[in-house]
Amino acid sequence: MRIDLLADLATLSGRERELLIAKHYFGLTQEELASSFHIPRGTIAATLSRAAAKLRARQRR
Amino acid sequence: MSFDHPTAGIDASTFAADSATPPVLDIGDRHEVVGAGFGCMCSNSRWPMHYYIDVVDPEPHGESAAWSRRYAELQPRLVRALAATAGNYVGVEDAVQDAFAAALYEDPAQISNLGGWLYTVALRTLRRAQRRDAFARALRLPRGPVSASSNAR
Repeated sequence: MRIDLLADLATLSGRERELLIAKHYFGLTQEELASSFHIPRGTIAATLSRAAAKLRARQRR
Repeated sequence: MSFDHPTAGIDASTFAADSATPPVLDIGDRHEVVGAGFGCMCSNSRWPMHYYIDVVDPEPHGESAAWSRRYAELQPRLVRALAATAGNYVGVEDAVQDAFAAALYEDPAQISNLGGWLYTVALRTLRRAQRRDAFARALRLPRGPVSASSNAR
């Protein structure tokens, strides 16, 4: 299955794209994300899971 | 403190004409002399000519080959990732370049994930540039370098 990830990424918010790419493309941990983006860890986890849910919902369609 | 800038210790007495001993210049074992001659730093020729030497540091940080490899590996990935984040390529390559320049001043041992470090630094630079451009657009400031003629208009 081929996923048009770029088009899907465009549907996310800027913050969601930043965190998703930093985590999955460059392998930053949630602690590293929290310290480099100055966001609480809980917010990171929530944003990432929301972004993943959005992408999953688009894939299913 | 060890400061080994190539011009450290050079002053007027180094090349004084009446000096009994010929000028001996210790530039260390790292730098190489690539040229020398008489010249003037300024164009109005009010200042006397000076003897100058051109030196280069063939290994600026002692690990330039390692940085070349890191750059070749990471630069395309960073440009792709930032373009995917921002949605376009505007200012992306400049931000990546600035991030690599900033990394040269960091201790490599302190950065465990260089790609991630460069991505976050480049992203911050890119966002700052975007804010600055948006501000300039809002104020209808002229784009690009401001010259005297574009100010007069």
